[in-house]
Amino acid sequence: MCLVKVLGVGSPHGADQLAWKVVEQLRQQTTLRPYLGNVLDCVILNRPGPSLIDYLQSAPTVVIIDAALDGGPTGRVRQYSATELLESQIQFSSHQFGVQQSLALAQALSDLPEGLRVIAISVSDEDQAMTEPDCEQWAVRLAPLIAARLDSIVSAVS
Amino acid sequence: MTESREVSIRVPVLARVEGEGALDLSISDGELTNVQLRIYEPPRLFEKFLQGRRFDEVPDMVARICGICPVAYQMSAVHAMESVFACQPGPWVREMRRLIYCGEWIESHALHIHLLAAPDFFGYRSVTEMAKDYPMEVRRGLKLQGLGNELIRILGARSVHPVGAAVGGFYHAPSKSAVAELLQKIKQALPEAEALVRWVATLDVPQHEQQFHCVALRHEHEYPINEGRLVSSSGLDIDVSEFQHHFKEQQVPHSTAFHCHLNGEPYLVGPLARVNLNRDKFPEVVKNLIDELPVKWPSFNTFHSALARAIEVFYALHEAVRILSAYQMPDQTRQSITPQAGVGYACTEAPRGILWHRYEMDQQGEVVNAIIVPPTSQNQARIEADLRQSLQDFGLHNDDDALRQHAEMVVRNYDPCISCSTHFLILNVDRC
Repeated sequence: MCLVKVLGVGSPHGADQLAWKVVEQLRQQTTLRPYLGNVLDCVILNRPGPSLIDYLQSAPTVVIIDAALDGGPTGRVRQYSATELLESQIQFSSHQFGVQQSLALAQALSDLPEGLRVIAISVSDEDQAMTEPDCEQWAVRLAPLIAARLDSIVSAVS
Repeated sequence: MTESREVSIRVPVLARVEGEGALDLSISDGELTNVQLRIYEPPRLFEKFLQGRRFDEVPDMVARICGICPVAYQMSAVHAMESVFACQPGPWVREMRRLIYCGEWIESHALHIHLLAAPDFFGYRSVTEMAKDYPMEVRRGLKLQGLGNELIRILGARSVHPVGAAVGGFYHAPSKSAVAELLQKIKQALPEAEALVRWVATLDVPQHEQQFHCVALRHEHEYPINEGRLVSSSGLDIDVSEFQHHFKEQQVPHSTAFHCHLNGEPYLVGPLARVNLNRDKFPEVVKNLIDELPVKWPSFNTFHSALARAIEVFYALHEAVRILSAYQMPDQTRQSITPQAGVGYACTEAPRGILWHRYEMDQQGEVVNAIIVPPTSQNQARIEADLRQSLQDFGLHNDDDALRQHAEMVVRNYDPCISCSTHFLILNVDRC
């Protein structure tokens, strides 16, 4: 079992691909290569909905990467704890059961891992429909930054 | 608060899934004078988008109509177009289509039971609140939903907007090892599905018997999913191509979604209608379980819809075991298509009820005209009729909050795509 699991959450549409593309780039980062396959595992998830809870159990430390409409400029990277995310106002819908909602449900079920971190990549309103090549370009730019964060996380737990 | 009060309850946003809706109730002198489920989302124009598209583009396009029941849209579409092209995909494809549809029933029903219906019946605002007191039940629901998604994925490549279905069959056949692995998981889940049925049967639901017509597919040899004749509890028995002779869609001022009537009257589609009309087609294991439940069938208490969903989850898992146990790799996964001009019809049983498609195709295999009648619009008139009677039975003397909560529960019970939003309705009350 790996110690750190990275979950790239998204879909094949517009800027929602960002986390997938970032995960693809993370796998190519030289700083992370020594860890991949043993300490560190990176997967992509296609709109997992509440199934995300299962993946939260897959490692002692879980890092979720997701594109976020949080008012920030496209490409801004912020890291949140589960507590910070859960303190925000949450609305539920079976058709819009996203990361926040899944984490809230996981917390209610006492299934929230202590080492959970969420890395949010901001997408501005006007960039929501960005193309796949644009997503790939952003991923190339952002991957080293996110890899550095992961490097420190992996170093701390391994 | 007295019976002579005049109250206008407006729920302005039933933020939708397959439609944005609202609910307006007016009470005057102890009578409900106005009940309107308003769906005000602009038309999505999918039928227009399909015009001029080749037949092989259609399954992936119609899958985008709904994120919860994309398989239903794909199945109705491929069957209708195959009838135009005189394509007979054969027994392997027939079984796999049944299998992927079982997956959709399981994931959709499990989601509705646990995220929408059960919190209502227990008085919680959400599944998160409920999970603190019923963690085992919620975990079980999530596990079953996950299995449904796996069934969709094994044929559709992904569970949301799957891409495996084609006119003529599937683009891919699962490996025998993948099938064996999934079969094992599903067999292990059967006791949990049975426990789900028994648990839902114990839920304290309102006891409101109503009179309504049930409409569903009916197949000679099996519980209906992809094929059958259209039947009703009032004696209708027609080929699906005759749908428009008996069912009339009409516009109403308060909804951008059509209302649909059977011979001028509202009707119910969905799991309760299916179980009411087809429970004799269940295998013995399902029939035996139903016989042990404290509910008499047919049931005309619409709140038994949740139980009907649970029964269908149990059935769909057994059906998946049957199909997966007999799985063989096919010689080919799909028939080649020779397009021809003509008109084709199909109706399949989406999780929420019958989904009827009509396609006019040209010689090149492009869509000339498409008509899609989804279950949510078919249930709209029935939901309004249910609200009238349920709220009267509940008691109009109750305060506005209680009336709103009961009204929301009635709406959600139908699992309309708009039900997603009905968990966080904003209520405005104008008192005269």
